[in-house]
Amino acid sequence: MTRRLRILLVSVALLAPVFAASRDEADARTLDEANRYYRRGQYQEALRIYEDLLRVRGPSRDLLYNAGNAAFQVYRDTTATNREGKLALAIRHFEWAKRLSPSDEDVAFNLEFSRRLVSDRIQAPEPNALLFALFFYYYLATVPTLALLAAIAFLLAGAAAAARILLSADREALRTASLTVLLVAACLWAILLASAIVKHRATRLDDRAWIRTETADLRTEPRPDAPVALELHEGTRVKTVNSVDQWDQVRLEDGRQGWIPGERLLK
Amino acid sequence: MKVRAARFLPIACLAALAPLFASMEVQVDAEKIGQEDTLGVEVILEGEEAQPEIRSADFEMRGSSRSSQIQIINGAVTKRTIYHFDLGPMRTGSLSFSVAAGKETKGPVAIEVVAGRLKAPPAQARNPIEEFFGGNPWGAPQPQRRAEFGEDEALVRNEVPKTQVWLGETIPVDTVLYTRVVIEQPRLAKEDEASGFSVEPVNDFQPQSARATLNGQNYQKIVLRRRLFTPTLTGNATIKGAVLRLEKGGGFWGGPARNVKVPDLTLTVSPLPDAGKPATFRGAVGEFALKARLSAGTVKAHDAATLVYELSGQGNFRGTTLPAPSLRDPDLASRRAAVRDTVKFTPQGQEGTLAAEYMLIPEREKFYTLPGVEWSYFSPAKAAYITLRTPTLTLTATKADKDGGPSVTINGSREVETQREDIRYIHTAGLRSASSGPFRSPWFIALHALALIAAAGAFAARRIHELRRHGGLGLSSHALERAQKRLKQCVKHRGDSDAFHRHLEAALQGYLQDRLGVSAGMPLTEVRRFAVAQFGESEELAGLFELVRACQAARYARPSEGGSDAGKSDRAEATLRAIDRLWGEKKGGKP
Repeated sequence: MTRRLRILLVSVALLAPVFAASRDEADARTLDEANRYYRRGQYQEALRIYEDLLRVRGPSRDLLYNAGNAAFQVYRDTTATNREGKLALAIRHFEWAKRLSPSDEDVAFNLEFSRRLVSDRIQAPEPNALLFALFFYYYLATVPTLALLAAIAFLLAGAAAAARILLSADREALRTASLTVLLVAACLWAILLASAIVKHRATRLDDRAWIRTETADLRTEPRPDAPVALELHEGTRVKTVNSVDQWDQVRLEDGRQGWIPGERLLK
Repeated sequence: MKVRAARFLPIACLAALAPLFASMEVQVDAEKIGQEDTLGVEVILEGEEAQPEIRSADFEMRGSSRSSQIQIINGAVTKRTIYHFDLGPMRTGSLSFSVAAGKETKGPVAIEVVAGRLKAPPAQARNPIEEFFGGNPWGAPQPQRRAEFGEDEALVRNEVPKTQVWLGETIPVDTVLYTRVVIEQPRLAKEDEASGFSVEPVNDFQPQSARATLNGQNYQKIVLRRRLFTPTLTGNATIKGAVLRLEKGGGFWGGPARNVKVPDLTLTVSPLPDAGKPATFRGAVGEFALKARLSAGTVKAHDAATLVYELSGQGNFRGTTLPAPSLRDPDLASRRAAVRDTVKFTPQGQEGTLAAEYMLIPEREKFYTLPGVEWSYFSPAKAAYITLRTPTLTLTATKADKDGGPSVTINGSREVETQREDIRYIHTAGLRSASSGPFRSPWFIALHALALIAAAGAFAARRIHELRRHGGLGLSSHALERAQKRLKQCVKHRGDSDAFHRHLEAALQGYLQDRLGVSAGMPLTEVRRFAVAQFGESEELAGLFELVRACQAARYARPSEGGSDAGKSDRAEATLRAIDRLWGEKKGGKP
């Protein structure tokens, strides 16, 4: 029994790369099929396959981008029977893809294009002038840029440390300068890396949701007869902060809060 | 027991049973009746859904009704469920019954039944005192109390402004009480039936009171409620009157009560004429006005403008369809954004504004013409169809802010060059591995590793450089410590000359090997030559080699010839310290 088990384990270990390779090939063929559907204008079929691949393989930039495109095309087809929620789905996929690849121009363009169709113009308030002056790099730079700057600062600190080590004691001025550069670069590295991490966490999509129905009433309490504070429209992004029964407490970009039935949100 | 005491019976029942079942109340209209009379029993449930049941072998059920009681007091409306039972006694004597509703039971309630009829309505002279108390509470029971409430003292009618209406025309229907006595708490025992109508209550209606003459008699006219009826079928449509239970007030103990049925009301509903019916007519009947407006006349391409169609007036808003824009320009996308409904059911009818908002998104930079829309309704006042038309609107789309937008050149009214903007195409390069963010990217890790390697390399280079300059191995700085440890070992062997001198020699030669970086097998003369070459000749070095040779000689000599062991180890340590100090001062370079 033990010997058979060993043989089985060894066989599995040897064949695992083969299985993995064959699975990749199968996924690639499935992706080609979805792309063919898209080219032929059969967007719903393409979207279904993209979504299946996302479930199987996990999120990747290209899959999310293609799925967002397909969802957007379904939404744009006014004769489609299941248009509801597709604009929100497209925006969510594009935002996710942008988070994975912030520098991708296609993703950024399609996200901006989709957002133009959202009726609600809710924007986050401008940051405090003092905060902006102090942390301008946080507001202006993207996460990869901050991470790159942090890495460069670390490299500079390493070079300064190397210089200080190599310089002999009789070259005191250069040793002092290299120590100064080392300390400054280390501080910059710490600040930039912390900013990158904080901004990376702030752009998480875990607690984000999008209005999936044409309209959704933002109510002051989780009751159907509670006063309506605001009428939101499809595609508007909110942040979920609490949940009671079938109701979600959400916060808008501008800080306003309210309750929306969970069925009207795409999470 | 006298019939007059029946006044106390509901209170007694309530007082006795209130702790058990506060939401059920049982009232009887008499405690003593004739066998030919009918006993009226009212079971009032508040917040109770159970069906009450009369349990008795002494009474037969002659009738029952259920109603949702509506009490109108100073305009405030409250509701209760009232079950009314008419019981007929099956024999004379002391009879009883009980009432069960759900798990609760009330009773038994004892009723004395005598032969004949006690509820005949004899006319009685009015007594100011009894009028005040609703009867004499100390006097004889008066089984004829119901007869005191004459039919002409209070009447209820449904009144409409006209009986000839058009299909879809909303008319108010008032339920009016005409009374010459004080009526307390008129209750709705049975709602009216109005098939062929859609009925809506008027929001926040306040009862109105006025003097009126009816059938030659003066009455106080009280409009109890007003509802809006909209006929949905043509022909004669009858509103079957409701039943109200009126209680004559004025007495401390309450007054006589009776059910009053509202007479049926028949309306003639005429169909809307086919002649002149416009194609844009969608069933609106009333008086309306239509406006169209744009939120902005000029927007940037891909920005949204809001087109609003606002329908206001009075009529059957609920049965109408709002106009929609007829946009033929493929570059102007539109979708319905919201419907604003401020229509209320006022005493005059359905009034307010219904607005449909459409979001227009110009996809290119150019001028757009929004043709006016037509919308028709039927005016009952003019007995004719009226068509409303909104003016033509224009929307100017300017160049978009970002991404360059579409390239459009306007030459007069002709477009010379157009380039339609759309979302970018899908990626067809195949599957790629998921990105895990910048912190695990190769360049991020490589830059950090490069910095660490640079620092570590510099440290290593510095170390190698120092070693080369000092001419020793890495242990050279610890050579003295190692030699001192070995000297402590040799002290432990003081009784054994051979072992003592062997350890002492190992300590001295070990120091030289560590300090000079020479191998253990190098002859002593070579070691000395190497040391002299590195650090030069000195007395301390000569003393050290003299000690080494002394140890070698002592290992093969008798103990008496070897001298003091303790003195040798102390001298060896002193010599090593002196050499280490000397060579440490000279480490800057060769002599």
